[in-house]
Amino acid sequence: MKDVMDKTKKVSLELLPSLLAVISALIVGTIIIILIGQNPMAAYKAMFKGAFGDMRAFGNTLQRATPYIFGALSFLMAANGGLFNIGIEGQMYIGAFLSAIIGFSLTGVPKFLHLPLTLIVAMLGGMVWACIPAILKVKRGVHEVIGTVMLNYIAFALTGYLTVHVFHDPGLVAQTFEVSQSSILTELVATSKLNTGFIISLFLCVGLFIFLYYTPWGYGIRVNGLNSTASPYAGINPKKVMMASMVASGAISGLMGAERVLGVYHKFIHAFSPGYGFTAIAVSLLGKNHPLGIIPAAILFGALETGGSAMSIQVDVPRELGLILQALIIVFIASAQFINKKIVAMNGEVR
Amino acid sequence: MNKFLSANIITSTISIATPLFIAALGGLFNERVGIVNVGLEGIMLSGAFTSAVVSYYTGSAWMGVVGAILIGILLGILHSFICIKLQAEHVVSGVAINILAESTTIFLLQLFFGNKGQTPTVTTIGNLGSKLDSIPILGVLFHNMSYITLIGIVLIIISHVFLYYTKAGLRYRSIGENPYAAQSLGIDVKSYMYIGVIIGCAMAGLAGSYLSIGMLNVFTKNMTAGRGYIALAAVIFGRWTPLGSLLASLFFGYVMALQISTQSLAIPAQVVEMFPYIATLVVLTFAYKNAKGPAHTGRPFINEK
Amino acid sequence: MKQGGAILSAKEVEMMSYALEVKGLKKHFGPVKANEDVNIEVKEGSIHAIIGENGAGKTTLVRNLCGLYQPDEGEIKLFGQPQKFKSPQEAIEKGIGILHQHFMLVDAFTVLENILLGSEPNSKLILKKDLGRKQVEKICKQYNLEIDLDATAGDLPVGLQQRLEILKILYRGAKLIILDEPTAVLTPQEVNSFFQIIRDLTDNGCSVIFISHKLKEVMEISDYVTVIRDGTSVGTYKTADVDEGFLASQMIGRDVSLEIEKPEKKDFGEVVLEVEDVTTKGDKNSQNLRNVSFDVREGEIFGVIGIAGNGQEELIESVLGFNEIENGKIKIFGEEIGDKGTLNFRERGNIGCIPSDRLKEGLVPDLSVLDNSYLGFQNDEAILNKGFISKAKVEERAQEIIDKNNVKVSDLRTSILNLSGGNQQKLIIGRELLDDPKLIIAVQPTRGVDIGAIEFIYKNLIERSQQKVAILLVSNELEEILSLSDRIAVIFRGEIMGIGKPDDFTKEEVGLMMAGERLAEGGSSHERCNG
Repeated sequence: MKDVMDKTKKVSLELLPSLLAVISALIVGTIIIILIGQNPMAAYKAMFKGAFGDMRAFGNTLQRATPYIFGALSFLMAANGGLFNIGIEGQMYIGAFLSAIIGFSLTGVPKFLHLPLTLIVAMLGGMVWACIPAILKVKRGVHEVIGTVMLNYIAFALTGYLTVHVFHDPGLVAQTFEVSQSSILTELVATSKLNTGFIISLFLCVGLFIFLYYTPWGYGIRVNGLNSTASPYAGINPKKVMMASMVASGAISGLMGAERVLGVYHKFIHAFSPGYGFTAIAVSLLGKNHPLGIIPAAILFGALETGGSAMSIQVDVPRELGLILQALIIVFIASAQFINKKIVAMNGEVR
Repeated sequence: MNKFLSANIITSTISIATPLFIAALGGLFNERVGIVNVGLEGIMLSGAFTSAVVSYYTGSAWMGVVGAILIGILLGILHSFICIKLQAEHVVSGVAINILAESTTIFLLQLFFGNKGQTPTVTTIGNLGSKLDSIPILGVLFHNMSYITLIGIVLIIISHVFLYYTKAGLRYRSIGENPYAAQSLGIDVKSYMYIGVIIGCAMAGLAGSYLSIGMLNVFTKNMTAGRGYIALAAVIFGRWTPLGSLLASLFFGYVMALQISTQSLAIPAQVVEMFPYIATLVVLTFAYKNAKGPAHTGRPFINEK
Repeated sequence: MKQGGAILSAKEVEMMSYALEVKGLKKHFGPVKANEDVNIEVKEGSIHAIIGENGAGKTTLVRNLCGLYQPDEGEIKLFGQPQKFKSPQEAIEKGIGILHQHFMLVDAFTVLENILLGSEPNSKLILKKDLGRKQVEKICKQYNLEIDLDATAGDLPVGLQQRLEILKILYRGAKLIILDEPTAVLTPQEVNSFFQIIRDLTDNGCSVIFISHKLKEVMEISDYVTVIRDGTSVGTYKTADVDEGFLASQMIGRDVSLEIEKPEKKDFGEVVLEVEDVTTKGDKNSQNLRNVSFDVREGEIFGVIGIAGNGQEELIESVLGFNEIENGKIKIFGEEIGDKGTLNFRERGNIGCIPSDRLKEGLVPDLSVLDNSYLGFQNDEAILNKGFISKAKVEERAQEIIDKNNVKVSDLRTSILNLSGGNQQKLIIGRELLDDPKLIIAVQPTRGVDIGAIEFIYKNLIERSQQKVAILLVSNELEEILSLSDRIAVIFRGEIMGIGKPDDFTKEEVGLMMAGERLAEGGSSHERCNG
């Protein structure tokens, strides 16, 4: 019995910062709703119903959660290897764009060939885009934060340019041609745009979980991220492992973009991202950089988006409240990192 | 020749550069004291929004400027608290601020004006007009210059003098380079850090105000459109100095102004958008020997006591 | 060999004026007694050395003196006045200046800016550089210190950077200057100029405290020397009255004597580890190996003894294959390890390694005991099931390690930090030895470990050696090396000063070798070795 109690206590302590962040955000949200003269209970109820109320709502929520799942996986792959990848947004755009190109430029190719090919190209694009700042850092000492931030914007503008001036689907919208049917990720729940990409993301979560915690290579990545000084003594090559995690991270970001294009928009739309690559960082932190932990975190963020929309129809609260709640969670989870340090200090060393 | 240096283009350049160099100045004040601030974008947006709203309700653009600076200070307190006191990742805090600003401004836009896209038109700061005509040669330049631009230039000059000619400036710069050395010499590192971040963010707020009540007369959603990141590029390109930031911003502004006014040059807008970033990366990669900025930026200052 | 002159006579005490008097200084960090009852008296105008091993408490003492720490107990008197510094600023104001081991410079600033920073010449707002320049130039002249005031500090060679640090101290009017391991970073030529500077300092009325573990230099430059061991001051002597051998023997060695039964060994088997004329060229100049040769056979415990920082790190890293060898060969199990610095050393054969810093090199603090129990062995079939890590197998192995090695742990899933140092070490040893390696590399295996664990570790190592395992033992503990080893080698500045059986040398002779002296053939006369 004590074992179970201890384990529960330990897990709760681990989850504490995340729970606190969410609860704090909800409290502030409550205050905001009251300040604008609305009923918090009604608002949250509408939000919940909008996010989980019926199949379609739930489908919407999961669809909205999908980029966050991919993004968080990307971030945590790099993080577990000891790196901070804030270039996810740019890598995603590159992957998205490339998937669109492969998507619409090939016709008459059977799906079982076309779709995987598209996804692979998207991943390669993300990988390359992730390697550039890594190489710049190693060869030229360019700080990785600067490198990735610059490359984010270059990716954004580059894909924008190619969309508007080269591959433009004639019309007013800045978007490319539509991709062939053979490269589309099938929709799962009608009108929700929830597609098989979501399934892929779940498989990826499980796969990465097994990889990181049940394989020697995953173990090596984690050891290196936590204590790279011990790596050589443990037979782990720090440089190789770091590069590997960065490359994996880039590949996942590329996949993230591909899902949006092939599953939701069916074309590349300039500036389609409301900052997925950045919000995903917070989702990963909320999920403790754990492949399974990020799933509920991503679903929460997806719910805040769909719930927010639904809520604004029912109650006179702007739908952006959902986004504000997201932002508040991010602020709180960013602040809450120190709690983990305090916990380790509290447990102390028994000498 | 006129095509490249017409009065139009010069005015445009200065106008485009204004929010950039003021925000860049704010960014460099942060970095010089060891704090990375990718939240400039969000702070600018908040400043733009606040100044528009205040200007609308008070009818005074100057009150709007004050409002923008205040919101900058507020966000600066938040950022400094998270980065310095809680020692969280600077980048995460900056990202949080950006997302918060984006969502909150749209939310309030809907709340105050029932409109998702923009505020109604508001009173603007206005230009200097003929006030400084008496200055030889340069007097003409000031005609179409906004008051905010002038404030910005004054800030640049003050910052330059501060950083390179005063006691406090020397100490300030030392903190971003080696806070432990500064501490060992009896300098109160934490105070400098807090004040520096708050002042820097206040400047970013001011930069934002130019967008809504200087350049235009309205706040539109997400109107910063990445300028906060261009400002970051300007800081780096300008080697983390006030004058450098000003020149870098003017350079970026010039390229953008060129693209807008000379259609015949046919450089697509997106290429111009990329330009500051590519230029910065190229320069960082090939030209600067050790362009890492202040040595200790981004790393936590662990107080051994 | 000279001894004694330990206590200054009462008369001498009366006649002096002291720059610094420290009485009964105590500083504990929880259970760690960093400084315990430290007593030092530094005569004005003298050069007073403080020597001791790494971890002996010198750094803590320095930090207590300069205001970074506040002592728990004890009295500090500066020029006769009792002082309690609450901050470095206060200590600076009262006239203490410290030359830190790790420079506190702003690399991007000029020399002048570095000197002026924080103590800029009196003015309200404006930085009066010209005034400052004049003041600094005056000091440079007075103390005979040449330096380009406009050079960028980060571009200066180390010797000049140090000079800059000294100028910083002098500019602030320090009268008592504490030098913390100042020659660690200097070349022999720079050391000479540096000594001249120190003499100029005292000629000008400053008092100097010189902290070091380099006995030769201490002998050359100091007037007095205090030995610190295990956090306490062991004695203060007039330098002229003692020699290096004596000082060495005072510095090293635990007071605890353990009964180690070493059975007689006749034959050792094949050569397992062969180090042949190895020279390295890493960044840390003083630690580079120079023509190091030795071998370790089956069943042999080969001990390498030296004062910390004399190449032991380089040696271990070279043997493990972490760095490149400039010259020479290293062979393990008959095969050259080559210069593939990244090759997993465990792939070369059945090798176990107990690294010198258990928390930094041997364990991952954020992982559980369970996860640490297979660190380095994650590719082993023993814990894998079809390529995946099998929780069952891992637990089984972990339990075996714990049972065989008496590791006190309540829950395998708890953080490794919840174990005591001794138990952590036992876990590492258990892990490394579980697969019965044929070569064991043990570095400081009993550092920070309680008596019970120490005995266990010694027993383990001896047992293994009886099973024909080759053991390379590297340690700073003389007693440990002498009692465990079948043969020993003394290392100094990356060179082997002597190899032989423990019985071949007296303790003092070993001490001398550790201090850099080579023994001539026949043993009685001592030759100085070239720096």
